[in-house]
Amino acid sequence: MITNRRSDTGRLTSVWLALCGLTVVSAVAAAAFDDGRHNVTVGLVVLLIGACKARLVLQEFMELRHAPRWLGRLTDAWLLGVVAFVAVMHAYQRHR
Amino acid sequence: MRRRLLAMVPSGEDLDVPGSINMWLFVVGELFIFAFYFFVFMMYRTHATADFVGSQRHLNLAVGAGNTVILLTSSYLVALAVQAAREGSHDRARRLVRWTVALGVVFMTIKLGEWAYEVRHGYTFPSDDFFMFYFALTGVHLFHVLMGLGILGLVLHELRTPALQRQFVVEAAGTYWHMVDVVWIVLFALLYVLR
Repeated sequence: MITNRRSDTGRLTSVWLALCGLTVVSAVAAAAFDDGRHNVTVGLVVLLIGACKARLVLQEFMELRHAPRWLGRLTDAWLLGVVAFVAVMHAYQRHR
Repeated sequence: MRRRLLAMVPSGEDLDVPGSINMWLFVVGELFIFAFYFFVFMMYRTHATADFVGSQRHLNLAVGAGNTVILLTSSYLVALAVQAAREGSHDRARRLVRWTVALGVVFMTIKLGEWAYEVRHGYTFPSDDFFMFYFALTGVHLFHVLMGLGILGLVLHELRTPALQRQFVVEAAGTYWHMVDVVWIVLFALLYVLR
């Protein structure tokens, strides 16, 4: 059973603010460099931001940092698989 | 070999997860199903990148980002609700879950409004491959939001009933709601910001 720690509420608030900030940054980056064409660099940057956001939710909100290691590894493998596949496919398109 | 395989199967303390192991198995299963959808989307996108990027520009990025912040905020509130329930502050937990539900409804309303806007402007399911995926993926996600709202409704009932108020139920519902959030984070990246 997981119990609360004194600093948990402050930590959750920091994570929430970071998540909102990262969302704004990725939207601004996509808009600022939008010339209507495929852009590998911007794509990889926003993908990396998305991966950081997803891991923050998994580790902090879903409390995987307190959970058994196998579960953390399983969700990390999921995230890594999704991000790696999307990144490779996204970069590959440039050279077609 | 058999011993090595058995050692990989979690048991005992390894099953001491937030909420319930059944919810975690369900959530991980859902994540892998969504991963399959993401893979298929990228396969199609690879073959028609210019068309996908062109159609993607018809989506309103600000609305997508705003809706993402709304869902992230709802996730934050449900995480606080889990903490409140653990501390025995069930009234506070109930208030936080109510706000979570309210934000979930706002998310759905904005998404439906976005759909209506796109349809009014001629972008429908059969318009092109991008919009086919847009409506299908956001539709499946919206169905999960609806299921999450149902689960949070059960949590509100639990928290209202002094004989219930089981901590693991609040934690399991939180786990599900966060999964909906994680999936949306990936969808936002794929549909709105990946150029």
